[in-house]
Amino acid sequence: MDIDFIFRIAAIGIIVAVLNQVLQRSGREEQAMLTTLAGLIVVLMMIIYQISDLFDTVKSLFGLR
Amino acid sequence: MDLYSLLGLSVAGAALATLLRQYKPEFAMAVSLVLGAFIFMSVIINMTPVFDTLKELGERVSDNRYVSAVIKCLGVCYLTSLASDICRDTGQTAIASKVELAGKVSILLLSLPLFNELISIILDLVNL
Repeated sequence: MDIDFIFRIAAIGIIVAVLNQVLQRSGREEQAMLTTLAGLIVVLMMIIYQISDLFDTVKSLFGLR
Repeated sequence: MDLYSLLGLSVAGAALATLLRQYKPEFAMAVSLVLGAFIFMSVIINMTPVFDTLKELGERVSDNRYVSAVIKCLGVCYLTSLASDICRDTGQTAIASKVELAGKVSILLLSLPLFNELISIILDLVNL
């Protein structure tokens, strides 16, 4: 869990937003929606591993099960 | 991670989240979730001496069950508040209240043996 992970997610969000605008302006709404979906899935996959080791740390520290 | 860098990081993350909220709200939620998890993790890791002293005090007073139950309830409180705040942040107040309900129930279950102990101690005192 390091700091630049947060900025990496923000960068992906901004890139997807820009891509979305470009695709929508050029008339390809479907591809725009698909790129947003793809960006979201990538970010969620990255987040899941961080959240899982957060929960493991908390479980081990607080002695929960 | 000392306090000041955490403060600066949280303000920067909040700015990023508001920027993203205008274009892509789902990424704003992702940024706030990861930032909350990061700060929570660094705070928890700094809290380990607190747990050790609590455990020592618990052993000195009586057996260690009470202190470990208190620490478990604390952990449950932290996790449920993290999850319910994230849900409330994205506007899902119904889910947030259900998560809090689940946290309360699990804390109640954790503290049931303490109630029994308490009642038995009180009964012993009363019967004197």
